Amino acid sequence: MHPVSRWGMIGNAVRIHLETESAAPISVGGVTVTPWSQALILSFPFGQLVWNRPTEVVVERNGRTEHIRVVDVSCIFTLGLYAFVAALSVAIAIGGARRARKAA
Amino acid sequence: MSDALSDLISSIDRTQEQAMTAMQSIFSAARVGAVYGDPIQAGDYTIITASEVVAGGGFGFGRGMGSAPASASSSNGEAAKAGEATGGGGGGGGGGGSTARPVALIVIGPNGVEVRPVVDVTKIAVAVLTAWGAALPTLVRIGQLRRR
Repeated sequence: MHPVSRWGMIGNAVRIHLETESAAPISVGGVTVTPWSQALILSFPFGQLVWNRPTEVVVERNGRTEHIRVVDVSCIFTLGLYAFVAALSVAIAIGGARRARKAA
Repeated sequence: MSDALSDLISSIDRTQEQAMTAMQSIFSAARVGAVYGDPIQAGDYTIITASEVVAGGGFGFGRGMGSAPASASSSNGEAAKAGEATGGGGGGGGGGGSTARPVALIVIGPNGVEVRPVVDVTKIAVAVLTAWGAALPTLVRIGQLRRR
């Protein structure tokens, strides 16, 4: 499978590269498993940042193909927690501002 | 003096080459092989680890050279000979780091293929403590509003 590559620029300095790539297929007992990953590459004039994560596993068995997503449970939980706290803070701030306006 | 400048320039060039080599190793984190481990055979099961990899690095270099201006004319009116004085300097630095965290296990067995997520208890505990610290001012504010 060929890697899929997309890229763009922010201004003239930062290059953003999104690359989706598969590893070599693994065959075990009539089942062929192909893992896929996605890498976000930020290239600056003075350095580089790479974030690479697993995305899915493609399973081929008896002529059928199945896509199984790799879910990062820990990341989803932490992002959900941060989003909840942020939303709660915004709601409290808006509620406090409304109360202050009513009292005035 | 010119030998010293040549040595300085060549050492800066060598450092730049080393930095480019280091950047290539950081870029290798973008390969799919960095995310998925080698298959491990355990009885009837084959296990492949899947991890999240973050790597970053940066470097900077600078060099400058200059020559002394021609000296002023001497007291007897004759132009003085220009000196051979030259100067130069250079510097460079860089740094980088990487981190990997297990995300899931891919288990291939007699019953088929299963993707089992890995729960990172440390990451969740740190997130809970951070969220608690961020929510504390909000909770104090709620208490103040209720008292009014």
